[in-house]
Amino acid sequence: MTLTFEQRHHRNTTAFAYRILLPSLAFVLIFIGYPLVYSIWISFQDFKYGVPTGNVIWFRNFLDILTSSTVAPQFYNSLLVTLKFTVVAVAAVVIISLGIALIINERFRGNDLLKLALLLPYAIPGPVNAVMWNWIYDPTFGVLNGLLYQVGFIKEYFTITGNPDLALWGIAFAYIWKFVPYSTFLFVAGLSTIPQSVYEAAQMDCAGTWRIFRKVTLPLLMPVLQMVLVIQTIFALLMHFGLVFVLTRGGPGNATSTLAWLIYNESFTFTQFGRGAAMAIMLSLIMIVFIYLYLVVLNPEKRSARTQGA
Amino acid sequence: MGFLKLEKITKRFSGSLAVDHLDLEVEEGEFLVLLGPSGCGKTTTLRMIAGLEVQTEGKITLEGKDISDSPPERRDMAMVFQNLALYPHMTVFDNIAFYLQNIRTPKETIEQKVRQAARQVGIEEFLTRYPNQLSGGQRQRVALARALVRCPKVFLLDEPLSSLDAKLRAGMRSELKLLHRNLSQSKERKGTFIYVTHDQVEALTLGTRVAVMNKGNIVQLSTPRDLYNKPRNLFASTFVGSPSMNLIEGSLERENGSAAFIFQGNRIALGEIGVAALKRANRAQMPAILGVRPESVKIASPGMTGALAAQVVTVEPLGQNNLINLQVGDRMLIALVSPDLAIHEGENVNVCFQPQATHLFDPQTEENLLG
Amino acid sequence: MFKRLGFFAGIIALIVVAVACAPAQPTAPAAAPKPAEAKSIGPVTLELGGWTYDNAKVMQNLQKYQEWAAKGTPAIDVKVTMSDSGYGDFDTFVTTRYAGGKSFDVLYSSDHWLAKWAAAGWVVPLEDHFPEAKKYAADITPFALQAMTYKGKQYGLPYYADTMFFVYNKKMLADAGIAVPPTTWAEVTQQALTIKNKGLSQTPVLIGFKAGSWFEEDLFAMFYSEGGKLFDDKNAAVFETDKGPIFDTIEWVAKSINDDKIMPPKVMDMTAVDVQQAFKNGDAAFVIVPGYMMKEFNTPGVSKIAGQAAVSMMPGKTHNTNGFTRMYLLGKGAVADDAKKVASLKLIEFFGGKTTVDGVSSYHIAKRWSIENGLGFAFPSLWSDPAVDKAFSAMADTNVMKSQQALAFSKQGMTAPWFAEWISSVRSETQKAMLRQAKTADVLNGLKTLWTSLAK
Repeated sequence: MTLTFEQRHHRNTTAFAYRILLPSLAFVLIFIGYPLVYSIWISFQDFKYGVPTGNVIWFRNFLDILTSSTVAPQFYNSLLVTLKFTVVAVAAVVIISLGIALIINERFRGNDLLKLALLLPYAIPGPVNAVMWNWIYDPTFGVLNGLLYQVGFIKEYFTITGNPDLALWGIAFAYIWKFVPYSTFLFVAGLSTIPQSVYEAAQMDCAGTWRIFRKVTLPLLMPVLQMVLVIQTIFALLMHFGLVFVLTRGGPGNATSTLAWLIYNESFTFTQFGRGAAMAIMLSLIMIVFIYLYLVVLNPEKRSARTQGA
Repeated sequence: MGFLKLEKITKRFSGSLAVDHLDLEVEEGEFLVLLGPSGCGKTTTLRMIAGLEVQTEGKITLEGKDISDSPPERRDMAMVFQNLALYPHMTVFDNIAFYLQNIRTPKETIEQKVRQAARQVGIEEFLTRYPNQLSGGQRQRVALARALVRCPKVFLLDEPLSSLDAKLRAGMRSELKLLHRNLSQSKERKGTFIYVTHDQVEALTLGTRVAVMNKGNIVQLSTPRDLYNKPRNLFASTFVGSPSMNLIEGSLERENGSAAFIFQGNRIALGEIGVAALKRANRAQMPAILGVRPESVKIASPGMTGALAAQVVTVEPLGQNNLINLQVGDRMLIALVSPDLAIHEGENVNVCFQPQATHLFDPQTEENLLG
Repeated sequence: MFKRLGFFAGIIALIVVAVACAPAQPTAPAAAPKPAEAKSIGPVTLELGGWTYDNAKVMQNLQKYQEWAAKGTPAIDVKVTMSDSGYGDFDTFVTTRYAGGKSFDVLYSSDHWLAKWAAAGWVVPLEDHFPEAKKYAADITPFALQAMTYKGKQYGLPYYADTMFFVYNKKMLADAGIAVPPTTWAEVTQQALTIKNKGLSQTPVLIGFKAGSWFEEDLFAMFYSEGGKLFDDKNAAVFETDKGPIFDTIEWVAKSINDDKIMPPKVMDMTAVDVQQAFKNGDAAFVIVPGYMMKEFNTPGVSKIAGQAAVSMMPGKTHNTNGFTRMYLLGKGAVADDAKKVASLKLIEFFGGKTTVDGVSSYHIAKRWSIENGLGFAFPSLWSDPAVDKAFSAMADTNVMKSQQALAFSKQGMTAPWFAEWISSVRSETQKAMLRQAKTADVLNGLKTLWTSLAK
C-alpha cells in the first residue's frame, strides 16, 4: 500500500509509529522476551537429575544458592572470584586501552602499523585465544616458561594456571590482552571527536599535560568512558568463560571458579538447571548494579551541577 | 627595537613551504592584521608566534628575549581560535577561569578577574551556562573574555569572526576595535593584537597596520590607508578593494615633456605621474599595467578629450552606488558611480580617470612603478 | 540515554546467560510402537553419540556392522551416523543434547556418567529390551559388570575396560641403582628422592591433578592401593576423615609436593595427557596411567623411552587399583521405534558382544581395539586368544597386568546420581589440601558432609 504524503501526514502519528514498530516489537518479544520469561520460569522449578520434578518451588533455588550448605559456599566463593576478576580486568582494560588510545591519537610515524598490530588480539577468536594461552602457560613446554628460563629469570619451569595464587591473574592477563584493542578503538573514536584546538587552547591556558588530561580530555571522553565501562563489565563478567574452560576448569581448588563457570557446572555437569538459571539471573542483577553505579557516579551533568552548587 | 620581532622565519610542512623567510616587527599596543588568501601562511605565522608550531628556521623575540624555543605556556600570549575552541564541558565561568586556575590564582582573585573580563564583553549574566546554551555571538565573547582575563603580552586572533553571520560580524568588529583602543591606552600593559583574516574589510577597519601576505611572505606592510592608496604591487592592489582594481595592459610612452598610457589605440594622458615612472625606470617607453579603482573611473559626457569611448554592458544597483560594467575595446572596466547618474544599459559613454588616481605596475616584476 | 543503555545492557546480559542455561522441556513419551512383522527391517538410520577416539577405526567398524546387519536374520538395512565431541566434554555434549529435547539411539558412556544419565531417563536398561545381555555377565570382569549396572539392572555392554597401573622407567631406576620398583608409597618417596638427588629427574613422580575426570581415576587408584573404602553398598560414606587410607593418600601427595618436592606444584595444572607426554620424554620415573598407555610408551618414534616403561603392582598396603569401564548404552530415543530398537540392539551387540563374522565367533571389536590400540578388555577370556596375548606381551609384563586387573575395583559411589556434583567438589577441595591451603581432615569432613547433604 502506498500512501501519499498527505495521507501520511494526516494519520494519527502515534498509531502509525506503533504500526511501523510492530515487526521490531514482535522480534524483541519473541527473541528476547520469551527466553527471558522462560529462564525466569526455569529458575522457579525443581530439577532432579536433569528432569523437572514438576514442582514449582518459586524462590527456593535462590534461597538454596544463598543459604544451603552445599551450594552457598561455592556461590560465595565464585562471587568473590568474579568480583576480583571483574574489578581488575575492567580497570586494567580501561587504563591500558585509554593509554594506548592517547598514544595513537598523537600523530607519529608507525601509527598505522600500531593500529594494525592492535587489531590482532581482537581478531583471534575466543576459543583459539584460550588454546593459544594454554600453550603459552603450559608448565612443561610453554613458551612463557621457555622464555623466562632462557633469559635466566627462573631456574625451574613453573605453573601459573596450576598455582591457586596466580591462576586467576593468568586468566586475567589473557583476557586483558584480548579485550584491550576493542576498548582502545572506542577510545580512539572518542578522542577523535575532541578538536585539536581545544587541546591547544588548554596549552595556551598554561595547563600542563596531566591537567589537560584531567580537566579536558577525561571529561570530554566521559560518555565514551561510561560506554566502555558498561561494555567491559558485561564482557568481564561473561567472556572469560572460554579461558577458564580451557585453562583451569575452575581450579586449582576453587581459585578460578567464577560465576560463569559455576553456572555452567550447575547446569550442564550437575544438571541442576533450575539452580543454574537462578544463578544466571543473579549474575545479571550484579551486572545491572555495576552499570547503575557507573551511570550515577560518572554522570557528567550531575557532577558539574554539584561543583557549581546549582 | 620591536616589541615582537620575527626574523627570517621559515616553516616547511613535509616539503611544502608554508612561510618563507618572513620578517616582521610588531610594536607594543598596535593592532596588526595579517591579511591574505587562504594558504598564504598567515595562520601558520600566527601559530608560530603562539608557539603552537615550531619554525623550521628563524628567530622570534619578545621584548628582546629570544622565545624561539619556548612552549606556548611560557610566552604569555592569549589566543582566540577560529572555531573558538571553548571547553564544552565547562561553564562560561570555568572557561574564562581555566588559565587562572592553572596558574593557581587565589579563588577571590579569580572570581573578581573573571567577572571583570565578562563585564568587558557583556556576558556577565551567562557565567553559569555551558557553551552549547549560548548563541554564536555570546560564544565569541566568551572566547574573547578567556583571552582578556589573562592581560597577556600579545593577543593572537585567528579569524575570530569567521563563524558569525554578516550582521553580527560588523557589530563585533566595532566592539573589538573599541576594546583594543581601551587596552592600548592602558597604563600597565598595552594590549598588542595580532589578527589573522582573509577579510579585507576587517583588515582595513581594525588594523593600525596591515600586512598583506602571499605565498608565505609579506608583500606589503603599511597603514590601511596606504595599503589602499599606494599598493606596492599587483597582488596588494587587487587583493585589497572591492570591487577589485581595474587593470589595463598597455605601454607607457614619453610625449613632449609629458607621458601617456597607450592601449589598443587609446591614449590616456598621465602627466607627471607617467614622467616620474619613466624617469625612475630610466626609459623613454616601456610596457606597463595601468590600475585604477572602480570609484576613480568617471563617466564623462561624450566627445570630451582624453576620454575613452565605452559601452555600458550592465548596471548593478548596490544601493549606495551603482556598479557599471563597461566595455572599452575588448576590455571590461568596472566603475562605481552615484546612483543619481542616469546611465542605461547599451548606452555609449566616455570614461576618464584622474592621473592622480591611477597606479602603474611593471608587468614583469608586478611592482608599482612609482615604488 | 545512558540510563536506558544500562537497563537494556543488563536485560540483554540476563538473556544471554539465562538462555544459555535453559533446557527444553522434556518431550512426552511417544505412542507405543507397532510390533514389527516384516522379515527384513529398514531402511533405518541410527544416531550414535561418542567421543572422539581413532575415528577412522570407528568408521570401519560401523561399516562392518552395516554389512553384518544386512546379512543377518532379519536383514536390517541400517545406516549409522556418528556425532562426537572430545572425551573431556562428552558429558556436557550429551547433557546439552538431551536438555534440548533430542536423543541418541546408541551412545558411549563412561562408568561415572551412567547413574546420572539413567536417573534422568536419557538411557534405558539394556536387559529390559535385550535379555541376552545377561548372558554376557558371566564373562565380564566383575568391576566392569558393576560399572554397567544401575539399580540392579544392566545398562550396557563394554566398549573397553582398563585399570590404572603404576608404571616406572626401568632405565632410570637402574641408573639410580634401584633394583626393585617400590611396593609402598614410602618406598616411592625414598626412590624418587634418590633419583632426584642423582639428577636423573627433577620431577620423579608425576600424577595429573588438573580438574577433570582423570583426577578421580588417579586418586581412586591411590585410595584403593592403601585399602581405602569410600562408600558401602548402599552409598553411605564410610571413610575416615582424620586418618586412614584416604587421609594418608592425600597427605602423601601434599608432602610429596610441598616437603619432599618429588612432585612439582605444576601437577595441579597437568592433565593425564600432560603426564603421559612428560613420561614419554623421560622426565619422570613414576606415573599412574591406564593400561592402554603401555603400547604408546613402548613404541619407538612415539616415545623417547621406548622399551623402558614397565608396569608394577600399585604400591600400598593392598595393591588394589581403580578400574574404569567405557560402554555402549541404549538411548531412550531408540526404544520409541521398533526398527530403530532392533538395529540399535544389534549395534550394541556387534560392538560390545560376541558375534559371528565370516564364520568366526568372537568379541571381534573388543579384540580389535586391544590388539591394535592396546585398550584393555572386560572379557578375561580374551587373554587366552593368542593374538591378544602376543600383542600385550609386546608392551608389558602380562602376568603383572593380569594380577593387577584381578585387584581392580570400580569407583565406589559413582552409582549415586549426585556423584558428578560431589566429585567436582572433591577435585577443588582435594587440590586445596594437596597445596596445603586447607587441612586434609577439614577437607575430608567437608566432603563427607557434602555427600550426605547431596544424598538427601
